[in-house]
Order: sequence, then structure tokens, then C-alpha cells
Amino acid sequence: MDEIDTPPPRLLHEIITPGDGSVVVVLEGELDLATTQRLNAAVQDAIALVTTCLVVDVERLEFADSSAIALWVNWSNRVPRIEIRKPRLMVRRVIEMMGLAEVLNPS
Amino acid sequence: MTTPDDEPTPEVAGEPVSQRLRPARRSYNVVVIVLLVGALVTAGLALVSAQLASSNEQHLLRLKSKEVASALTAALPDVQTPLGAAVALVDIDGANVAKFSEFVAPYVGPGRNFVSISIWRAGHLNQGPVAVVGEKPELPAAKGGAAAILRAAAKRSGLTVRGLLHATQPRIAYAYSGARTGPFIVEGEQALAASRYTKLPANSAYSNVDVAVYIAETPVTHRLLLSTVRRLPLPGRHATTQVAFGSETLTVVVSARQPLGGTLPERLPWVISIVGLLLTIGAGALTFRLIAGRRGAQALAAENSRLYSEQRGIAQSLQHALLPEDLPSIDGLRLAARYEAGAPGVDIGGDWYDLLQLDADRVLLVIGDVSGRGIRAATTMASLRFAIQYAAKSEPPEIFLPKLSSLRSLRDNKQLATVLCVVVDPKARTVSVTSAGHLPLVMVHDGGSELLLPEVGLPIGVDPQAHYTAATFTVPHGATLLGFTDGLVERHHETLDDGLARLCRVAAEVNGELEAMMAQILEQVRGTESVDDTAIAGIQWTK
Repeated sequence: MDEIDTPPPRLLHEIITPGDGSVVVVLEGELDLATTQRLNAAVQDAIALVTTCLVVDVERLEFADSSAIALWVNWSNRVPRIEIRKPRLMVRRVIEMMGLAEVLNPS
Repeated sequence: MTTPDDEPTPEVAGEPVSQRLRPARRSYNVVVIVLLVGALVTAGLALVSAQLASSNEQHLLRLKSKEVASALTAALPDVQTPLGAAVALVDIDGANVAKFSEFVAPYVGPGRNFVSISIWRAGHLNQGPVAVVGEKPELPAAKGGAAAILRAAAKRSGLTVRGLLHATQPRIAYAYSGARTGPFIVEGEQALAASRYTKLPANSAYSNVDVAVYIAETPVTHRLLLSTVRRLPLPGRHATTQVAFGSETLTVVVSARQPLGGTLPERLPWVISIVGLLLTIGAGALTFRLIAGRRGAQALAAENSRLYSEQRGIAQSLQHALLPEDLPSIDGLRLAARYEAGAPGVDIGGDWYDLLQLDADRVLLVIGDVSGRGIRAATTMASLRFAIQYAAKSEPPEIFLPKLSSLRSLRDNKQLATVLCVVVDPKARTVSVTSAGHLPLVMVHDGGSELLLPEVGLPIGVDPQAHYTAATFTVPHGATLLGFTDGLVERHHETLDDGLARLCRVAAEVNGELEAMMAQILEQVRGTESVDDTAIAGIQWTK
């Protein structure tokens, strides 16, 4: 239903596994309701491998709405630690305004 | 607020599909048109090929009749040569009958070219022939008499021909005078079959045609010279050619026993008709299938669209039903709330508001947003709303908010909810604000507008041990407080701070009666690009 009338996904993602128990998910583009579902499905297996820290590199993420935040909170419940790396101001402000700075650890 | 854990949409029983598929006969007219066009084209092609076959046949038949005519005229020298030689001989030898008889004898008799050859003296025609070889000439019995005919023959250089057709034994007579001034005229007669019936050899060039030859300018029965059929006129298609034959004219009529151009041209119209008809039926069937397929797809699309809007309508009605019907009436306060659905095509969200009278002195304003969409978001919203209604009777928000995280529907659906609780004391003009991850209140007063920023706790659903703190603010006279969800201020390519600043600016500009103010804010702040649903609730001090 949500796909109707919504533009095609505008999100690129890359998964890096450095081998130290962490996983880095690099996001580029826009993360909103239209793109979160697909991303979540795509990184399920990678998240299961995390034994230390899940790093979400959002430096090149231009837009993230509350559905993105909720996705990251869901991820945070499945890993020892999550880190939202280099969020742009608008993403950082959403995290802060939702009181989630201590959960999502924006850096 | 939305999450990736998306909702299955509710099943809605619509009216039976069959009722919606009325046959649109008009579109099947195309099939009829295709069949008609196919039939017309087939008929046209068949007609043209029939015409071609017919004109070709006629052409071949005409050629055949000319062939027969030229074959007949080609026989003239066979007649003229012996007669010419005979008359020359007689001229030179001065009517030496013995020599004449000796010369023409090989040409006369049964199975030979002539039945009779006679020699006549030009000046004494009435006295009869000078000499006769073979049978007695029939010419004297001819119309006009032998003398007149031979006199006329003497004046022309070529062969004079006469059909002696009424004689008991029909003959054809040839008269030849050699040089115009010569004293002798030779007359030969050929026998014709009494019935004029002539059988052509089976292997001759004319075995595939029937021929009738008349010694006249028109094919009249009493001038018939020969015929390959016993019954005249010739049946079916025929061609007629006229040809000069000595002094007479022969009319040659030819008809074909079988098609001269072969059987294919004759059958072609039928072949075209059958193949064309089959192709037409095939094209009609294909068109029918295409139309039926397209109609099916259209009906399905229309049905899907209808079911979708129906479903959306039901979901929206459900959400409206889950929101408060009436707001409490509080002395000294004006209360108002609005819920705006998201853009068409976007499922319902989990935004809500509530206004509860806690006791004689206090009102609780709740505004919240459950992540996700559809029925599950709406039901979680309802659970939260009713849980808060119940808990707020005995506990302050900072105590009951952490407990909400253990609500089953939140846990099961991995949903988050942001909630803003505002305990209002109208008389004391104080508000106590507790935020679970929610956007702040906007306070509008005569001097402008500002955000009331409390300490923000975790959204509901993150951690049952979360800690919340209430912040208390004092409200100026005539102030307005607005609580809202992120649909009001969220826009791509700008921070929430920008959206909040825009809201504050517009709210200060349109400050006035609460309902009108909220309508203007929704119109100006929300913008047209917003696809998210929006809840907004306001409290305005009347004193």
C-alpha cells in the first residue's frame, strides 16, 4: 500500500564487515518510509553478525525522518551498541528532539 | 511517525466483483468491424481475382479464335494453287480439255480436296462448263445462277467463294479467273458434311476448344460451314472472330471445353474466399480476446482502486472514531483539536490527541504519535490513549509514561510512540510538561511565540526503565498552547528547528481565536508537500 504514489527508493547502502565484530552500514540518499523497509530487509543478516558495535554511517544521508529513527532504535535492540556516525544537522536534531541521543549515540 | 515494521492492510469485504462488471457492448463493436472489414477485403480480393481470371480466359479464347481463323485462311492457297494452275494451263493451251483433266484429276475425288472441278468460257457462261472433272457442279443451282456468279468472279483477281449450303450435298464453291482478261474461269467445289459436324483430331492444337465456322458476317445457323459440336449455339463463354475468306467473310466462334488458363485462376477466387474468411475469423477471435483481456484488466484496476479507497476510507473512519468525540468544557479555557489525514495514497498513521479533565482544577492535554501505519498503528494508538486515560486518574505523567513501554501491542509490533503530556492548571496559569521523545509545545501570546522545551525522555517502547521529568512553565494572560505531531513541521531538506521556527512565526502572525488560528496554521505551516498525517491540539486562556 505504501508504495502507491510514493517515489521510487532513493537510497543506496553498503555493508562493510571490518572483522572485529563490528559492522558498518553506509547509507547514501534519503531514508524515509519508502526506503526503510527495503533497507531493513537488506541488512538483516549483517546485523546478526554484530558482536560489538553496529556503525551506521549517515554522513551522505540527506534526509532521515522518524521512520529512520525508529528503524535504528529497532536495530539498537539487537546489538550491544549502535553508533550513528556523522549525521547531518537535520538528522542529529531529530535524534536529539526524540530524546534518543543516548540510545543512538550520534557522533 | 513511521517505522519499517509496516502494517498489513485490513481485509475489507467489498460488494461482489461481478456486479461491477457490466458488459460494455460498445467495445465489442470493434470485433464486428474487424469481421466486416475482413469479409469485405476477402470479397474484394475474390472478385478481383475472379475478374482477372475471367478477362484472362476471354483473352485466351479470343487468341484461340484468331488462331482458328488464320488456320482457315491458311488453307486458301491449297485451294487457289491447283485452280490457278489449271486456269493458266487452259489459257495457254486454248481449252485443251484432255490436258486440263489430266492436271486436275489428282485433286478430285473422295478423300481429296475437291469433289468437282469445271472449266468455263468467260464469254459463254450460259452454255455451261466446257469441261467437268468429278461430279456435276452444283453452282448452277445456286442463288443467282452460275453465270452471274462466274461473271462477277471474272471481274476480280482473287478467289470468289460461295457456300452452296442448301444443296442436297452441301458444298463450298471457289471460282478463279486467273488474269482478269483471260477467257476461262475455273470452278472447284468442296464437299461439306451434311450435318456440318466435323470431329477435330484429339491431339490437335484445338482439342481443348469447340469451334463453329459460319460463312457470313454473323453467326447465323443457315450459313454454318462446320462445327465441332452437334448442337448449336456453342455453350458458355465464347469468342468470335471474323476473317476475309476469298470474296466471303468467315465468322469463327470458339468456346473452351475447359479453362484455357488452367484450373488455378478459376479456383483462385474460391481459395481467396476460404483463406480470407478463415483469416477474418481468426482476426475477429484475436480482437475479441484482446478486448476481453483489456476489459478484464480495466475492471480489475477499477476494482483494486475502489477497494483501496474503500479500505482507506474505513481506516480513516476508524482513526476518527478512536479520537475523542467531545472535548471537555473547562471554565476559563477554550479547547480545540484537529486531525488531518496524510496525502492520498498514504495509509493512515498513528497520530492522536486527548484532552482529559483530571479534577476540578486541572486538565491533561495529551498528544502522541505511534510509529508505523495502518490498522496496527491505529490500534496501538488506541491502547496508549486508553491506558493514559486510565493511568492519568491516579498518577502524574512522569510516573505512568515508563509503564506504557510494556504495553503489549507496542512490544509485539516493535513500535515506538512519542507522547507529550501537558497538565494544565488554568487558574494558576501553569503547565507541567513531560515529553517522551515528542516535539515541544508552542506557546503563543501577545508578545509573540516560543517553544516550551522540557527535558526530553525516550520515546515509549524503547526502554521500560526510562526516566521522565516534568518541567513547569507559567503562562501569560490570553496565551495559547499548541501541541502537534511531526507531520505539521517536518519537511525534506530542512531541520526540525527550521520547521519549528516557521510554526512559531506563523502562530504569532495568526494569533487570535483558537479554531481559526489552528486552521490557518494547518494551511500555512503544513504546506502541500506533507504526506504525513497530523494531529494538533490547542488550549487557549480566555481570561
